[in-house]
Order: sequence, then structure tokens, then C-alpha cells
Amino acid sequence: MVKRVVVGLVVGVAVVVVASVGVVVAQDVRIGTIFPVTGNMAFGGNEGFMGTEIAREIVNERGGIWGGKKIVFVQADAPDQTAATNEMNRLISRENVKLVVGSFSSAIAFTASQVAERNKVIFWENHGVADTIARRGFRYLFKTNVNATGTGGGSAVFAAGYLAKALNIAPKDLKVAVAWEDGTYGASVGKAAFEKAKELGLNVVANEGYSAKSADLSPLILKLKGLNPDVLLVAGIGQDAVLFWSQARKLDFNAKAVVATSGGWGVPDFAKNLGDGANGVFSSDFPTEVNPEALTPHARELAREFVKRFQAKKGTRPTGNAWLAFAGSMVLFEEVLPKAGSLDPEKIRDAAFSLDLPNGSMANGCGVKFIPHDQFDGGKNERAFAIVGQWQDGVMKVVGPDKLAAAKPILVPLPKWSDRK
Amino acid sequence: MIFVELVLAGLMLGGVYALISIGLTLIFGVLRVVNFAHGEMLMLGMFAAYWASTLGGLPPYVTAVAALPLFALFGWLVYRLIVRRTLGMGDVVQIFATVGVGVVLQNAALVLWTGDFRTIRSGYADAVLRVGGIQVSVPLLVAFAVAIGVSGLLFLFLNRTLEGRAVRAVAQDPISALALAIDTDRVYMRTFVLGVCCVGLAGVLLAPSYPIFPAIGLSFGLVSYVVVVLGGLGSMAGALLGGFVIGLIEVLSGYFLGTALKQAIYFLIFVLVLLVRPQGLFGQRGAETMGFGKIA
Repeated sequence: MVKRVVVGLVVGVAVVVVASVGVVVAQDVRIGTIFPVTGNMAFGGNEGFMGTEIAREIVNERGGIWGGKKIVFVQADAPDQTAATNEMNRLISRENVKLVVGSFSSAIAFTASQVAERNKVIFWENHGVADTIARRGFRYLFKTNVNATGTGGGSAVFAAGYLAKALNIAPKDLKVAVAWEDGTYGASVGKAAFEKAKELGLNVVANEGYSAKSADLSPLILKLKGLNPDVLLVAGIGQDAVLFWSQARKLDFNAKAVVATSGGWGVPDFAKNLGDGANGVFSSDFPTEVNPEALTPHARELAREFVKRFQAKKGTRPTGNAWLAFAGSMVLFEEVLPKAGSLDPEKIRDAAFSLDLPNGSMANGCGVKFIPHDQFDGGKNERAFAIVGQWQDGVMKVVGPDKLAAAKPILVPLPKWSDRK
Repeated sequence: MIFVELVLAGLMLGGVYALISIGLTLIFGVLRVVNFAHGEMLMLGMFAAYWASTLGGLPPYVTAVAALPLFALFGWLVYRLIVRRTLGMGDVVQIFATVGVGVVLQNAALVLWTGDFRTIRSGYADAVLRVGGIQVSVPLLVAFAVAIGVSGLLFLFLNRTLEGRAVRAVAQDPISALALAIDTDRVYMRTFVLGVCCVGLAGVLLAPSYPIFPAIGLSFGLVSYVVVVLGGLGSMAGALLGGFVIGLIEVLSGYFLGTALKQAIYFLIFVLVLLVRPQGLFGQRGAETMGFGKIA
């Protein structure tokens, strides 16, 4: 008898616990995330996720949304485009997710947003820069960051403006080589750099694509060495950037200046792996820790909190990619969702389009105003911009535009490798 | 001048490819198992060199020797636990088993060491030899020399020692070898271990020259299969020559026809070789289905 009562009690308690957990789960706000957290883009995918996760933590700790509901993530891992399609299908049909945040990579963003669009699910992209992502007339896509035209084109603008002057070479005589990895990211950014350089009348001597999966880049480096450009504009996505620059050193390829377009050239691993060799490399990049004076008080506080939490988690300062993830996710969690009041895609769209936040409102210094979906670049944040950074003593310092700059450019022209020892 | 530089770069790259391919071709030649975890084993070798250098301050050339027992132990474990059970079980079983090992290794590396890419930061990693305006990377030169040295030693081992003759006998006809009281299981095990040691060594020697990250095996793995098939499955000389051919083609086509095309060009040549000479440059016809007339 006693045994029966005990068993009955245990079962009863278990039922109550399960039921109450069920109730809690039902009240949570479930949002999908898709990042390449394994595979060869994992270095960036994990940082992207970490930025997104910190945004979630902050919002949840400060009371959640919609009167105390907590945001929970349903995570998906997409190391490549095939996985992106499969995982998006899983998130939407099995997990019944109505909103997905991603994705670090242009290629993943391109594919994943396609599945979202087909299913009328909102795809909130904070990273992918390829122009093509927001040029398919999609109705459920929002892109909070700058385009390839901004980062790639920005590299050519910097070469034609600041560098031509500093090197004392007329823009039309400035020999420029453009090199890009031939994936969705690099091809898009490289094209933007090439076209802008042509438009600005620079003397473009090379426009070379290469595979980021190449184990070796010596043919490319030797070709560039033969052409002897004054300025190299380069779009690399990951470890190919480290390989490129370390092989440039070994094969003695010297340019007077290098302007990268973020990607693999802008991440801390680049400086960590190349040591002094990284110094002097410019990057037309995503805004990171901009001058705090340029931020609103709330954005300034968020930026400080983000740096603190990121450092606690990873032990390094956040990269441009992590900043994009955090700043873009905060806009979604703090501005869009509270206004939308539910995960209904139409309400999220209305809430997103109603935003009109001046520059300095996002933690990375950008503002928010989404271009209507029926216009060119529809769904893209028109107030996202690129900055110019430079590796100085292992740190990417913001050197332009002037009002955001935290340092002055150094090492123009770059010393030859043989003079660097 | 630029042509000399290109040929040198091609030969250095070819040496790298050859070094990676030796272990693969050895294992295939004897066990007739295509080791799809080969690239990931290379990655482990690179990480071994990285950690030995970062934590212990050991240069890769010390690690190359010191880590050999570890690679041997690892090879033995993989053989005993997985490969041995797949012998004679059909291609699909072997392919999935070794692909599975590769996936496990890559993801274990991701969990342990994250997806960050790393390089060995030391003077010797950037050391270059300058001869009349031409630069050659010293670590690549070493890898090149070791590739030739290792294939030479393996050739001697297989042709001049009793143990080597047993390996060749098993490769030619395992049933007859068994009838001659050769312990085929032991030969398979030793060959597999030797193959894993070769690729581990390759990883250690390449660590100063390339970024190290869990997915690096994919970049090198694919090309090593091309090299091995081009040279002839199971042939040491073929792996060496195949490596140089692919290295030179990659560099020269990359320079003259465009970097984006370089892989297309060597895969085109690969397809042509398969059509015209399916056994590869040094392989014997039918090598993939029956015993070899000769290995090494």
C-alpha cells in the first residue's frame, strides 16, 4: 500500500513537472538560427552564432519580449549550401519555425533565404554581403548589413582617393590588381571592386578569381608578382587569406598597398597567424568598435556590454562578423519583434519597415532603414555602411571615414618583404 | 626568369602532393582499401606539429620523428577497430567506413580545437633560400627532399627486405601468400600503420607552410586521389611522378590560363588519363580488382 502511494506520488509529480515544462516551452519565442558551425567556415559561423546568442542572452536577462517571454533558439548547422537547404526545410517543416536568423556566409544566406521565401518564413540575414542576395525580389528577406558594393567598391574608392594621393601616383597611372575567391562572397565583392576601379579610371592590370579551397596559391601569387601592381584589392573568405599573404611573403610579392574586403583578411586569426606580416594591410570592412561618440547612449551601452560578454566567452575582442551578428540581432529582438507583437511574418515585415533609426543607433554605428521589397535591393538596410580599417600592431584599427576613425593610416607604402626583418 | 620560378614552384608543390600520396597509394596497393580518411589523417599530423611547436616549442623536424610512434599507434587502432573488419567486404562498406572515420576525425578536431585556422609562427616557417633573385621556401624544400627520400626508402624496403617481399606477395595474391605461411593479417596491419605514418609525417612537414584547420584535409585529400590514380594505384614511383605532374600542371596552367581554371585543367587531364590509360602511368591494368604484378 505504502509502495503504491509512493509510486502514485512520483508519477503525479512527474506529470505535473512535464506539464509545466510543456507550458513553459509553449510560451517561449522560438527562433531558428542557421550558421556553418562545422566545416571549413566554422571559424566564422561560430562567431556569428556567438554574436547572435549574446543578443539573445541580453534581451532575455532584461525581461524578454512580449511581457516576459523568453527567446529560445532552434539551431541548425549548415557547413555548405546543400546542408543549408536541408536544415532550412527541417527548421520550417519539422520545427515549425517562422523566423530564421543567419548565417555568416553569402552562399549559405543565398540558399537558405530561398527556402524561407518559398515557405513565407522571414529570413533575417546579418552577414552575407553578396549583392545578389537581396536582388531576387524576395518578400520575406531582411539584410541588416552592407553589400558587396559597399565593401568591394569601398576598397577601390579608398585606392583612388587616399592611396593614390599618399603614394603620389595619379589615379589613371595607379596599377591595380584585383584578386577574389570564386565563391558567392568573393565573386560578388571582387566584381564590385573591379567595376568601381574601372569606373574611377584606375589602371586595372589583373582581375583574377581563385578557389578558396585551393591548397596552394603560388600560381596566382607569381602571376601578380609578374604584373607588379601598385595596389592589390583582394577578397578572401577564410584561411585562403592567410595562405595568400604567407605565400606572398615566401615568393616575395610586394605591392605598395593592399586593400582587402574583410572576409578572411579582417578576422583576428589573420593577424594572429601572420604576426608582423599583417601590419599595414587595409580592409574595407564591417564596422566594429567605432568611436563611441558616434553612438547613441543606448547603442554605446550595448556595445560595451557586447565586448565584455564576447571576451568572457571567447577570450578575444569581437570581430566584424560578430559585431554584425550582435548589432543586427539586437535590432530584431529589441525593435522589430516588440513592435510586431507576434511571429506572424506579415507583422514582422510591417514592424521592420516602420523602423527609421539614425546612424549610431546600432551597436556597430549603423542606422536602420529597410528598402521596400518592391524596390531595387529590397529588404536591405540602406543605412548599413563599410569602414576602412588597417592592421596596426595586430589590431584592426578604424582609419576611415574620418568621423569614425580611431587611428591614422601607417606603412604607406608597405615596406618590401626583404626589408621587413 | 619567371618561367624558372614557375617550374620551381610547380616542383615544390608536386613534392608536397607526392609526399601526401605515398601513404595512400601504399595502403591501396596492399589492402585495396581506398582510405577516404587520408586527408583528415594529414590534418592530425599538421595539428601534432602545431601543438608540439606552440606548447612545447618543438620544431616540426623534431616532431616528425618524435610523433611517429603516436601515428603508428593511431594507425594500429584504426586498423584493428575499423579497417580490418571491412577487408574483403565490398567497396561500399570500405568507402563508408573510411569516409566515416574521416568525418569523425574532422568533427573531433572541430570540437577540440575549433574551426580557427592556425599557423606555426617561427623563423623557419618563413625561411627562404635566395639564389640570384629566385626564392624557394626552405620548409617546402625539406618536404620535397623527404618525399623523394621516403619513396626511395619504401622502394628499398619492398624490394630488398624479407618483410617487404612478404608485403608484395600479399599484394600480388593474398591466398597464395597465406598458403606460403605469410601472416596476411599482420602484413595488412603493418602496411596500414606504415601508410598512416607516411601521411602523419607529411602533415608534420607541411605544417610550417600551410594554414592548419580541421577541414584542411579536404583541400589536400582530393588532389592526392588524383595523384594516386594518375600515377597508378599502388605505385610508389607513380605517386612521386604523379605529384610532380599535377604540381607543374597546376602552377603553369594557373599562370598562363588563369587561376580559376587550374583545377579544371588537372581534372581534365585526369579524365583523359583514365580514358586512355586507366591503370595510370605506372599501374598495372586491372590493379583495382585483382593482385598487382608488382608494387613499388
